[in-house]
Parts: sequence; C-alpha cells; structure tokens
Amino acid sequence: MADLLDKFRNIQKVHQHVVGLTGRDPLGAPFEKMLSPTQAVIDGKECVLLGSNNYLGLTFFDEAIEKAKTALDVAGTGTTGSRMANGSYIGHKALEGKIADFYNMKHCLLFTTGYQANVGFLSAIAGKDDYIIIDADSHASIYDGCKLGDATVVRFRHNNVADLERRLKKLPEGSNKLVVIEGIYSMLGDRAPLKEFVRVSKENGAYVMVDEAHSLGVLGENGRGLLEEAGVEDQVDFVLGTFSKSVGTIGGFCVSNHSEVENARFLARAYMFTASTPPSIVASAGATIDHIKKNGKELMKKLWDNTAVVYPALKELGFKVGPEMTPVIGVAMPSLEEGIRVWNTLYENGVYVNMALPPAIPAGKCLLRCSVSAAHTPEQLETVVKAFTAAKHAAEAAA
Amino acid sequence: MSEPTHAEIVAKIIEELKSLNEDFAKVELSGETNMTTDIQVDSLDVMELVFSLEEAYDASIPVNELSNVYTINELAALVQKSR
Repeated sequence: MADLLDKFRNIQKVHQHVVGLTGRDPLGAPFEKMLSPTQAVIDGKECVLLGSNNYLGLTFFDEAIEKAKTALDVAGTGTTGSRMANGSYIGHKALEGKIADFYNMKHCLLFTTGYQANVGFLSAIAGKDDYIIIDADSHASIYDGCKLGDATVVRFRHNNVADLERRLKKLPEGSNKLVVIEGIYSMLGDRAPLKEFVRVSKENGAYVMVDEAHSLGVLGENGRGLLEEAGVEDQVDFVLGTFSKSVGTIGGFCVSNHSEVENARFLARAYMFTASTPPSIVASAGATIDHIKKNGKELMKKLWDNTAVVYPALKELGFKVGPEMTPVIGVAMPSLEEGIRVWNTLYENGVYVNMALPPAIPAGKCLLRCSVSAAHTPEQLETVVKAFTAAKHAAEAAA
Repeated sequence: MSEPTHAEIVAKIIEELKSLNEDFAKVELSGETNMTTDIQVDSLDVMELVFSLEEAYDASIPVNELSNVYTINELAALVQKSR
C-alpha cells in the first residue's frame, strides 16, 4: 500500500522536473522587490509583470494605501475571529453597503477571499435533492464549493448553450437548480455567452449565479462585469466576485436582490469558521471601489487599449492565444518542455508570465497565462512584444 | 435510440480511451480494467471521456458519482443509469 506521503513525493518529482528543465522555479518565482503595479525585481532581474491579474493597476493606489494605514492605526492588524463570534466591524457593514450599491443590488455578504466566497456560497445554497449545473472550465473554487455541499453536480461543455439546455431538460421537473457561469474564464480569457445561458436557465426554472472574478472592472460600461455588458443585471440571481484582481487587494463577496441570501451567514462554513477581513483590507477595498466608480471608465479604456496591443501581436507572431481578445490572454504551449523554454526566454527578456499546468488548465500540456493591466506603459508593452518575438525566434532556431 | 447493452457501452469506452491517449492503445483493456490504477487516466481525460459517452448515449452523469467509479464496467453501468 502506498505511503501517506507518496502523494507529496509524486508531486515533488513533477515540481523538481519543472525546476530542473527551467533552471529556476516558475511555480514559485521570488519577487524580491515591487517597483510598481507592473514592474518587479524577480530573482535579481527587473521584469514587466504580465501575469498579475492587476487589471486596473491599482495595487499602489495612494488613497487605498492611506486609508489602509489609518485603519491599521485605528482598528489594528486583524479581527482575530469570524463575524459570527467576534462581531462585525463598522467597516465590514459599510463595505457591504458599498459593494451592493456598486452592483445596484440590495444585499452583500463579504467573504475573506474570493475562493471562500465560492466555496462558502455554493456549499450553503444547494443541498440534497438540489442540482448545481456548472461549466466544465469552472474555477477550482466552484468545483470545491460543489464538493463540499450535498447537491448533485452536473457539468456541461464549456460555453456550450445547447449542452446546458439538454442537461437542464433532463433534470427532474420542479427540482431546484442553480446554473453557475463565469464572466471571463481565468485561463483562456474567453467570455461566457451569458445572455443565452440566462435565457435557457430561466426557461428551465433555474437560478443563475455569475462569478465575475476576472470581469469586475474589466467588462461593462461601469465595470460591473459581464452581466452589465450582456444586459442581464436584472435576471442574474447571485453575483460572486473578488477584490484580488481589479480591486488590488484580497477578499470576496456575494451580492443579490434575494433577501434570503443574508442567511447564508449562518450556513456558509467558509464565512462562519474563518477570521473576517482585516480592517486595513476593508479600508483599501472600499477606497478602490470608490475610485473605480469614479474613474473606472478611463481605467478600462487604458486596459482595453493595452490589450489591443498585446493580443493581436501575440496572435500575429503565431502563438496559440485564447479564442477572443480580453485582458486575460492564455497562450497554449504544445508541450511542457516548449512552455518552459518560452517562459525562460520571456523571463530572460524581462517579462514575467504565469505558467499553468494540468489540472489547472482546461486542455493541453502547459499554458502561459498573461494578464494585461491598465498601468502597463507603452515602453513595457514594447518589452512584452519584443520578448515574445525573441521566444518565437528561439523556437524557430530550435526547430 | 434503442437501449444500449452493457457490453456495447464497455466497447465504446475502450474505443474512446484508445482514441484519447496513444498509450492506452498499446495495452489490453477490458471491463475489469481499473482506470485509476491500471492505466492512470487523468482528470482531463476522464472529463473528455465522460462528455463523449454522454453525447453518444444522451446521458447526463453527475460529477459526484464519478468519484466512486474505478473500472470500465462501473463507468458503463453509470452511463446506463444516467440516460
């Protein structure tokens, strides 16, 4: 019988193989100094950050930093417990109001991370005899939330409206159904056909939840995500989101117009049994949300202008990019070895991207995940395109 | 579509596995083959295999039930149950 620790030993072998091929660790790159939202010293080398999810470039937003500092002075470094046990700080309630207001919804629940928002909400809302219907390319937090609950989980082919409809029609009439969709998918960067998904869900009596983790501050005229862009804000039942991308800090939330959602506070174990968001994080998230409300349009224009430089350039160079142009650009590699070679060439040319390996990616052997930021300068984008050009030339030379 | 037999579904699963991964084409597969320990089908291959079977037999297999499936026979039985 295998030893308990064999699982760790096996993954250690894979990790060592990757490090051996790379000569450094792409899955744990040492960020020695942050120079700006889009520039850092990594393992002694100054790099443009093209793998940060920092879509609006607000991690150094001065007002958020000032308010976080003040909150540290006034309320301390943490809450040291859950809101059930240790109570809600004024800031928690104020931030929930701010997020609900941003989405024009009535109710908001804060979670300590975006991961916990999905895990907590999904495991709380659907129980035995209920059905959760998820896209095959759903984020791990959606899969984990489903696993923690007792609902029957049905998976449909990625972004396939006909497959969702076929499966909804097979479920018992009158049963409770929740369809879970993401705004922008985190690996390939494609949008869901949300309007169609909402239509077939409603026709078949299902509630709809949208995870806007990668689309808050990216899509929609006011940055409210795909549901705003698709014009279905009044039809989506639950919106889940995170502060760890466009909002530049950490935390998660669920907003809804269903008043019953407030009671998830007493059912969602990821809300009940973990410490609540620290005051400094609450303060910085609130300041940044206010900033997005006021200046989001201008920031999003920069983000999409920058995306329009990177995506076509990579496509033109012959890289296999995701199916549509969004700030999340997944570059599929034909093999792990080729992925490592390209990752290394990019790093050596001063560009850092994320390396994703199965099972984190929907298909293929290796994906270089790039994310564009509104804060990227024209010079940084030029560095990015030059680095990918060098990677292409290196591949041609090796062939 | 007429009700497929267990043996037909087993044959279909073997055919799909062999087309999914060239390593699986080199070994003898049967209903008794344990997909986890004998041929180490990874989670992405399982997902693609299940989609193919669902489409071939107009089935919808709950994700939760897959965790109890190890052999090709067990998967075939689950496909029959999920039509």
